[in-house]
Amino acid sequence: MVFNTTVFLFLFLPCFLAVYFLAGKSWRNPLLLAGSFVFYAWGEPVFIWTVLASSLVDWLVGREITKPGGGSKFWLTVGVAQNLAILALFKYFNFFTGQFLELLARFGISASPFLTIALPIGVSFIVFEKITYLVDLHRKVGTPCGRFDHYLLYVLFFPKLMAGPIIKYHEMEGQIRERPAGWDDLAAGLSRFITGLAKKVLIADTVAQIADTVFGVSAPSTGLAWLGVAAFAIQIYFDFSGYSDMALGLARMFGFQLRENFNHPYTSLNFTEFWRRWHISLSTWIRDYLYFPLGGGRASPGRVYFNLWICFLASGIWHGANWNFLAWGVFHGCVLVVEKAWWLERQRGLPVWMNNAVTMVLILASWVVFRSQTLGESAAYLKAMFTPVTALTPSEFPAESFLALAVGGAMALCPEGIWARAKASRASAALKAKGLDLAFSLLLLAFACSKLANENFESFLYFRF
Amino acid sequence: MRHSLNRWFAVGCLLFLAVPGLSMAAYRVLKGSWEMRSNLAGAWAPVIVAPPSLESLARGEFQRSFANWFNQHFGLRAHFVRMYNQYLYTAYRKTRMLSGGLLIGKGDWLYEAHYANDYVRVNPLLPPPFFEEWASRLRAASDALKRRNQAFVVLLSPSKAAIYPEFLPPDLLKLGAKELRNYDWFTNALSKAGVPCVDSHLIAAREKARGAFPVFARGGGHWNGLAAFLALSNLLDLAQMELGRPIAKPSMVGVKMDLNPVSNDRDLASALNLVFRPMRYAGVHVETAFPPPGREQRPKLAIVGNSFNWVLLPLAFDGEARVFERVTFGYYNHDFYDYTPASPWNRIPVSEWKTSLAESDIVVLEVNEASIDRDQYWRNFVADLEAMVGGQ
Repeated sequence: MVFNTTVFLFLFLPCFLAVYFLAGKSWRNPLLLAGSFVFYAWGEPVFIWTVLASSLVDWLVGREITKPGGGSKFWLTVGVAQNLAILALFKYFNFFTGQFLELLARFGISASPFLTIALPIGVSFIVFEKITYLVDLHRKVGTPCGRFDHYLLYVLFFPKLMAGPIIKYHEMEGQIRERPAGWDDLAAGLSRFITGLAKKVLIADTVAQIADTVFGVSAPSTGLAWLGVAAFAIQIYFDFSGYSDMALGLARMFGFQLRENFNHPYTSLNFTEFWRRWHISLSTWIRDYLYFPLGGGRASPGRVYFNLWICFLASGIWHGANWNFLAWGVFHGCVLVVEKAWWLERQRGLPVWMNNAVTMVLILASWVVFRSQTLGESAAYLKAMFTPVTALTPSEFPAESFLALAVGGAMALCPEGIWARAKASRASAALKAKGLDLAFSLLLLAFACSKLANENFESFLYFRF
Repeated sequence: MRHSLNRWFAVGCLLFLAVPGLSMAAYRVLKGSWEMRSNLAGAWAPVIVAPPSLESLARGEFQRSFANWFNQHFGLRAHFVRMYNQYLYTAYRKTRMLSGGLLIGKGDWLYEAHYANDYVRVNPLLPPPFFEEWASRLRAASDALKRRNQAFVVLLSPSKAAIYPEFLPPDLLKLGAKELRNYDWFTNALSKAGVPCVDSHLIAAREKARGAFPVFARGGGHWNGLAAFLALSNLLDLAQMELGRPIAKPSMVGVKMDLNPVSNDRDLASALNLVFRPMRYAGVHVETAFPPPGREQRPKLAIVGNSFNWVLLPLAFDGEARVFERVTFGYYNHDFYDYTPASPWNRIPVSEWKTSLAESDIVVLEVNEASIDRDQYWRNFVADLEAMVGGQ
């Protein structure tokens, strides 16, 4: 089940909220767990059992990790290994078998894959979260979860299950036991959810029409190439941050306050800053569970650069099992190393707009690699961007997609200070202004739902045979 | 007060999200069905929910089919669809309806994309031998039917884009009209082969040139009653000649034009599925007079064609008066009807259709000038005729 579908919006969510709030307080966690189970099982009716079994292993291993008398590292290894094995099997098996078969083909041996494994939704997020629980216990950050149902609720909590943010157990522990859930939380959660829904449906899905058209052209012109990647940059930002807003909003409805996942990343002045603003929960995870264990910034410069590069290679692979994602991660790693070694110091004397422009050009170039199907396609697209090319262009893009691109672009590039001032003025706004604000949210909800309904309506004038 | 405002906002949002489901539930209680009747214009294949079983749940079949079913039937769906359509139409003069196959041209003239693409340089041309072959087969079928005392006529219905290209969207007009379309090759081949044919494109173009009344409605995808009546008149003249005996024909006693388009004259405008439907444009209504029943035997008609016949066939009837003793209609040579205006959807089995085809005095094959390449049904019908007449 996905948040921006009619089944979720008009069936699951209202029914679940009604049951949740009408039930007594002592029933809320069990209901949340049951609802999360149904939510995930709806889309992954088979894989959910793997998640349940693996969560039981985590919970039992967690108890062993914190037992006095040594053996913590052993149990940590067991726990992390079983989680990584799930990731390796479900996410990377097909990729590695495909590469192996291609290698065989080069030697004239043709073979077919004996097994193809479907990629379960959200597996990367689920596994990374479960690893944080075990590692934090080993580091003596937080205490082991005393109840398996609480741990299961942490893993399966449906607002953040499919696409994050990646939450650490100790960030949720207290809220699982005790949390407020009144009208103010419900209203704040709904408002945040609507913002996310609007970002996803009205902006991301609309500009996607431009990006999909341009990336589908075999040899775009230079102008078209820049238009396409700009559209994709807006699409991926509003899609992902919109989904995060929906996740945080839903969590807030139930009284949970989760960490922010995006913070105006396209206003960054360098990649180092970009990764403090983009998919914050992932970069935090990489920092805490990969970069620091590798030595972090305390090793020799060469080793630090290597650690950084490895971390972003891993980040690339985490995003998907293909060479393009790997290349994307490698590219980001290389830029970060260059920044650390030289550019961060050098750019201090440059104007803010220039630093932002340079950063954005590099980010757009990296999005080309991320979006393309193959490395060859990426190379051709980048060539079109940076070498003047005139070519046939598609005759028409949907008109509304340019409006969405303009609005999305303005929102994404708007300096953080302006957002902060707007947020402060909203908080202190008079009642009338606040009321108008909420009425606008309601209109956005209606408009987003109308677009969803419209997109799901495919008809003919009459039946033809 | 702020707290109260938050509460009202939350209640408002929750009610908004709950109303579609609640209205479905209410409909179920009141009418005994979860499937509320939709008043959206257009045709779509109904979704059947896979029966819930362990297997269908494990494979996700139930979930997918349920989600698709819910998309088709959730409460207030029509209002949501219309709201977004109104935004696209008002802000951009665009529409997503008919799966992107509905075009809005100049002056809000509406076209189906297929017909527009046939007129400009988009739809592919068939090779000339194709037309020669099929014209020859149509002539052979016509001759065989004539030997059985059955008249055979090919009726080419007109394309709105070809008759009124001046209102096509500017982007399409820029592509330019095709020098020769499949229609040109086909009519040429039919004429060379001597196939009895009523070319309604020429009839409609002549009437348009007269400038008195339009032959297509701004918001309709099919010919209007005037163009259809003129085609029917020509069809009856030709059938009479082929049959060798008189047919009592209706005559047109008057044409009225008002701002009230009806029936097929508003099908595309309805298909826009807007909140505020643009229905105020010229609607043409033909007044006919039927001769009193005489000693002429009314012929039986079997006609195969597309939706253009839903405009044509009613014109052959006026209450008790009628041109044909019986009309059987093979819609796309796929669904078959025993047609009267009072019960146009009176389905008959294939066996009865075949019998009526063999016994009809007049057999008509109707094809649209823009769909000669796209529509397979007319070629299938020719094959059916060949099978029927056998070695004759």
